[in-house]
Amino acid sequence: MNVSVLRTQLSGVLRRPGRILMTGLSVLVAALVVFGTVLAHQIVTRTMLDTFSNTPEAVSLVVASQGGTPITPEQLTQIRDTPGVTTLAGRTSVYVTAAGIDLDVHADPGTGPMSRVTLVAGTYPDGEREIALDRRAAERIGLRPGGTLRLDGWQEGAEPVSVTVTGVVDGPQDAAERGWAPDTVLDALAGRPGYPRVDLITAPGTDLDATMTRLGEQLLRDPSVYLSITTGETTRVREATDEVRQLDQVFALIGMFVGVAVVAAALVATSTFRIVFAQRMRQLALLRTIGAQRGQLVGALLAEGAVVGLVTGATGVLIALAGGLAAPVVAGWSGRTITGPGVPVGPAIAVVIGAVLITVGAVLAPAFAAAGVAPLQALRSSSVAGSERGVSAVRLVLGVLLTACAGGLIRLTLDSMDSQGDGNRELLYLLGVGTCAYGALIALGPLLIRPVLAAVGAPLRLLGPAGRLAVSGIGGTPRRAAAVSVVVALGVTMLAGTIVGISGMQTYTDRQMAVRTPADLGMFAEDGPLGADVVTGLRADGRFTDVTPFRTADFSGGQISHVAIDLDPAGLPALDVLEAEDGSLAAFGPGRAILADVVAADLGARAGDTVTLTSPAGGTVRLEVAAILTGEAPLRLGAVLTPADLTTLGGAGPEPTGVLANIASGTRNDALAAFRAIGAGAEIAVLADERDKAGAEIESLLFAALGLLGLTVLIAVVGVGTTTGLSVMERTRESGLLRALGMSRGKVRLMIGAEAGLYGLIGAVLGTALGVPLAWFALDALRLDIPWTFPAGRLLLIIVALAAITVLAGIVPARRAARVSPVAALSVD
Amino acid sequence: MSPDGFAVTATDLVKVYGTGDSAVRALDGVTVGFRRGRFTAIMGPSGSGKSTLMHCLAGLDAVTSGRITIGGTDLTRLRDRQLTALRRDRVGFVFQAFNLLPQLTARQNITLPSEMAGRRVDADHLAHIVDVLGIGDRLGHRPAELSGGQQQRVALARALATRPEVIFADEPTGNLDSRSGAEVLGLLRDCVRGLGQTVVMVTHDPSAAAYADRALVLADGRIVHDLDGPTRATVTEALGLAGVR
Repeated sequence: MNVSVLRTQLSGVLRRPGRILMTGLSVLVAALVVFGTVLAHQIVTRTMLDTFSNTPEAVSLVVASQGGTPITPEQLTQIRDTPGVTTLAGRTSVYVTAAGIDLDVHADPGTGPMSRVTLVAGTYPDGEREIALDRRAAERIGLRPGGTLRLDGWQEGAEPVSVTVTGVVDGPQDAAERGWAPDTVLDALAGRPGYPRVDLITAPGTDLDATMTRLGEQLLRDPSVYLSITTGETTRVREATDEVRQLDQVFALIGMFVGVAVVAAALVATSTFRIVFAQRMRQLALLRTIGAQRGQLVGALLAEGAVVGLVTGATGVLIALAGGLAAPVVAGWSGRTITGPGVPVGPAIAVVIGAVLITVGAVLAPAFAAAGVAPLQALRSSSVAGSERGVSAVRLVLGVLLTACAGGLIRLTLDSMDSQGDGNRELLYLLGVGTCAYGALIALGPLLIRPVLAAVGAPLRLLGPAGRLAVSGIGGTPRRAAAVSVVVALGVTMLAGTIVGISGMQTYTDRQMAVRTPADLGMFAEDGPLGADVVTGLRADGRFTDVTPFRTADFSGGQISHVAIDLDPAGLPALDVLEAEDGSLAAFGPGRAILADVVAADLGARAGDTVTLTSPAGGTVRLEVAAILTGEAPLRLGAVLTPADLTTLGGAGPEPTGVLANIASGTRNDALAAFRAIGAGAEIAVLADERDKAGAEIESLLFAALGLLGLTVLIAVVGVGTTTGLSVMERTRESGLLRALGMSRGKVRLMIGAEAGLYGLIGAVLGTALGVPLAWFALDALRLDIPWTFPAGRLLLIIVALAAITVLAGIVPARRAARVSPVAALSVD
Repeated sequence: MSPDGFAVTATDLVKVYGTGDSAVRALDGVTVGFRRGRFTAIMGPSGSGKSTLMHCLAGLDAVTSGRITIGGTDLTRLRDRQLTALRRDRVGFVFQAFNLLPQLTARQNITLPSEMAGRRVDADHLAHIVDVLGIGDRLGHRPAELSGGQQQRVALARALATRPEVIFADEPTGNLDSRSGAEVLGLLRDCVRGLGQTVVMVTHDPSAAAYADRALVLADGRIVHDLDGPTRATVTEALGLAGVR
């Protein structure tokens, strides 16, 4: 390669370092994000290994059962009698229900080096039928130390046990409310001797290896015994490593999102270089005129790309590293301890090399295009870069091919949906559909700009000349607009798809929850019906609303026996989301029934049919089927009847056997206490808790996805900022002209801001148009049984938010444009 | 309207670029008035200050000291916002590089300044201008579809559309062949004669200056000659005296 050509180009680059930063900004952000992720992984892993442990520091040995059988009392005695062993604590837990909530009861000595809890109030249990609650459980159940509690659900067929709550503790937590008790107490309560695991402390100076050998000799003499004996240290490391392994999966997922963000960065870089090279067209043409070969120009431009990649990649890595090294210090301010990431040199170099490769790759197409400049270009005086129109034949053919490819894959997916499969093939097809469709969007983007612009730009035209100029400015350079808008579209496609998917999941869970937990609180008669005063009492209490009493009765349909309920479906707002698979829920009334899908199948009934329900006592009722539900009837029952029809069926007394109610005011714990007081003796369930948990899971899924997709959107926004910036640079004369002709600074800013916003808006519209159908198709193809939804509000929010964010990205270029002196219009370049 | 019949006046204009030793006095005490309905050419060798004078007169550039009025309004006291409005409402521009916005049609280019002011263009006035300039069949075209001469006529129409106090033309024939250049100059003169428009034109071409009613010759930031009814010969002579090779 001719060195002089390279030198001309590179010296031009090095003279304006600001340009490097601008053209490579997307690569910088991508390198920052990638290396940031590497460092975050490093920090989380190291911190986890340093601090996480489910095993107290003092534990020197751990004996754990490896088969299903717990460590027997005999084995326990052997362990206790082993020389060197001073203390031991059984580790076990049982899952019970207490006062309508799930309680996870763990064994813990309560004090001493083996304990993981600290006492907050009362005393730690040490007698029979005593337990402690953690703070959350105590608040939820509304118990103070000294209160009693009925624990149920120990195991199949076991009777409920009443226990005394002696104290409230703080201890390790997860999603469930927890109870705590000494191992022996819990053992006695559960009525099943033995622990799955025992922690040991040995006397100071004991030879651990020798003790382990001795334990092994005694315990493992019986070949049918499966026990593992390890040191506390080994257990701690293994527990931490297990935890880290779970995180690795999370990081693998994050890695995928980061990968998409890198693709976005490459697209932005390509577009940016295309603009920059177009602006240098005259200089490049001049080099061609004075004898530079096309190959020399390509080489020089690629070298320029490599330099930009190197500089921005290294900068991104260094910024991420600075952030990573500062993280422990910052965490320290808020009193948290995290371990620093160190300096992972290998990954750092890999990221920089990756940045160089990606940038060179991004420069490739623009470099060949730019090197193809005709020498005559140097002699033309036109300063506007390329009066581009339409798309090239290659692009058009490629776009059509990709569209056809996406169509073909959709066909294949539909075919494969008819056959049975594990869904992996469909997933692969879907990936193909998405990639082809997006590829087609990239190829045909310039053709789509004008129609989309005509639609979304219309309101901007009302802003007067500034708005109209912005719209025509974008319309005048459709290829540039397409190049940056498709990157925004990439982010929005995924965002819109995720939102549609999650909103579908939400509808699905809402329906599930409406069936399972139609109200905040439920009261179910234990022995005999509820007193009539219970319902009137609840209705009189302002804390409750939608008080809906019900009775239930058994009936047999075809082969199986079911339960009917006389709940008023209009009484509870949560039931509004119930959907009829057949018939109409509005048709429900006297002489008509709503059936669960299984019951309808059992009876072989369709909506409009007349069915006969028979109670075990022999009573019968003939009813018309008003509607068949998509799943179960409320409270997971089989049929909904009117009270009169249920009475006709027989098997139910006149008094309600249960009441559902929503909380109208006050905290859930207060309402629960009042509910419990009114319904003394009945079983109480806080149905709202279950619903909240499911809702919270979906919500956190949504936020996690939005956060990760935010990376791609961030890079797209950087692309918009860069494109607008470059566009303003090359249009200095235009800005000056508008100022000379009397456009105020504010209007010039408005115009450029609107242009930036339009890039975002067009991308958001294209992305939504692509993402929503793709998501619907995916839901169907993967047979997830999730209904199609069109969350218009959220999608609109995304579109508006993107337009707003991209306007912000245009602020710097807009200020620059507004500062241009009107004299610039008169200068001849 | 100023009572003395001047569209534009300048008093003791000084414009200094840079500071200290590197300071350049681009304008060194220029005092001049431009009468309403007259066509004035400003000439001078490169670096004589003719472009600077025009930039300052048009309110595009700030002066170091001195006073400029357009239609009686003192420009040097105006803030940017007012200055912008003044340029929009009372000044028209014709540039060497035409400077039409490529994405707008000829008609949109012409009406742009009025629209920026939030006003409608008087349809009769527009029709008249378009008729005089002979671009009636070109209004729907974009600049790229027009010849240089046609583009400059559209630019002239844009300048005329707001009925400005004065039109400043900066080397309006610099990018045109001689025939198109002559046409544009003829049209500029017609605007002065027929529409009573005031035109101030910067040019280095003596034959262009011959279309004007008056020619000022600048050298080193001062007016060195003020010719009434200039001809190619008198202008060339004056330029020779001013030091042009």
